[in-house]
Amino acid sequence: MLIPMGIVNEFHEPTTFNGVERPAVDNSIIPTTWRELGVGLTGRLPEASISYQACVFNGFKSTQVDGDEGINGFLGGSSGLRGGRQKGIKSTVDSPTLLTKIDYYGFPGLRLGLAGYFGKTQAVDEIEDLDGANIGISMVGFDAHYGVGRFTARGQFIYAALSDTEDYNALTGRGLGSALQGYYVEGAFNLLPVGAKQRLFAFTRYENYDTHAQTDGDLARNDAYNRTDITAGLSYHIAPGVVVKGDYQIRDNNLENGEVANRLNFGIGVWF
Amino acid sequence: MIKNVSFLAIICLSLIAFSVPEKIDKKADAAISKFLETANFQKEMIVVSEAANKETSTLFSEDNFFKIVSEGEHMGYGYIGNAPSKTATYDYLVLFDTNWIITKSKVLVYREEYGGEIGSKRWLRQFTGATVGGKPLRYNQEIIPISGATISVQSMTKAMNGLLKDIPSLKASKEI
Repeated sequence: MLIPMGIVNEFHEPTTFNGVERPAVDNSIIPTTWRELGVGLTGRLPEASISYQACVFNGFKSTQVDGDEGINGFLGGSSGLRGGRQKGIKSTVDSPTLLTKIDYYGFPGLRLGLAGYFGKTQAVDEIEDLDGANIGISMVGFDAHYGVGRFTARGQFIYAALSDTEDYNALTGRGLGSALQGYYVEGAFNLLPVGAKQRLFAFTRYENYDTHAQTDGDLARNDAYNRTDITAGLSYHIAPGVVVKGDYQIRDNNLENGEVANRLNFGIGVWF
Repeated sequence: MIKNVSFLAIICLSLIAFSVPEKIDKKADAAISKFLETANFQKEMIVVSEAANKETSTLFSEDNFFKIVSEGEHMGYGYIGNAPSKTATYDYLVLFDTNWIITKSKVLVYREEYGGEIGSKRWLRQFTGATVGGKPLRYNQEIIPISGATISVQSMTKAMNGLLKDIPSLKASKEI
């Protein structure tokens, strides 16, 4: 199952978002495509224009024993939770994690979502009692879409608090932060008439994300992980399900004299 | 033989397609009752001839299009329809006043995980006040879409426009 956190993880097909690359927040903070084994229920309250989801998932894998009796960690300072994603049937299952999401769509054109994810990581049985083998994760995400006529906008804010990272770093030396945070806002305008079959969106997105939003113990915050990207470009929807995209990204980090290469991207997306 | 079987199958299918399932009918009755604020009403079926039905994009069956009467008073009209979502279909109810202006619409049953946002009471209110024979309601103009429910929003808009266009032609051909 796809974890319904933020906008892009659940709807990650290229025709559903602007820009060739997914928003970086949906890569560094929410590790899209983030899927886990799980069960869930969904429902709607039509009178109140609310939908809800509640799911129990397997969690991220934190550590494993390697051959020389050392311990490897999968989570890290730069990549955050990304390295801990598991692969279906090969998953390590230890303790359940819980996710709930509520969406409100009662104002015309506006959709608001609030999600919470809570649980611990998964370590194999031999080491799960070691200090730092597992960490706790509490992630909250708020997202909003707005679209009326030719104008659309979307944004999201994600914050993840990680517990026991000091022990985890002592055990694995991975430099994992104790909080991850990211947000973005994006506006887009359709340059073609509203009734036309084709759509040509010009868009701009501002995002900031930091996998070292906080650190525990002796670990110093690495300002290179505090990133700001500004992306501007065009999404040309030639037909329903077919999009040609191009954009330019101005990228920066919080280091003094820190350089991040800017990027020019082109892509084609087909969804059928 | 094969021809006969397929002929029978077609008859069976069309019989299934041509009547409102009891569960849907009950839900429609509950919605009408709530709207009229009385349980005391009758649905007088409007039967549309097969010939006229062929000319319309809307499907009129023997029990999905009706006049609503309460204590001898004409209250309006109703239609129960079925339209496609992305991978399934959903059932909906449309109520009109005696002048054929939409007073209420409701999604009675929605069957798939995505797109059910069209059941939102506030979203459906956009159709209220639309009149048969009026200008078509345009997606993303008169009808504001819902993010995450694009296909169902378009489907509902199309179904409503079909109904608003077909009723005047039934009137013109003296079916109503």
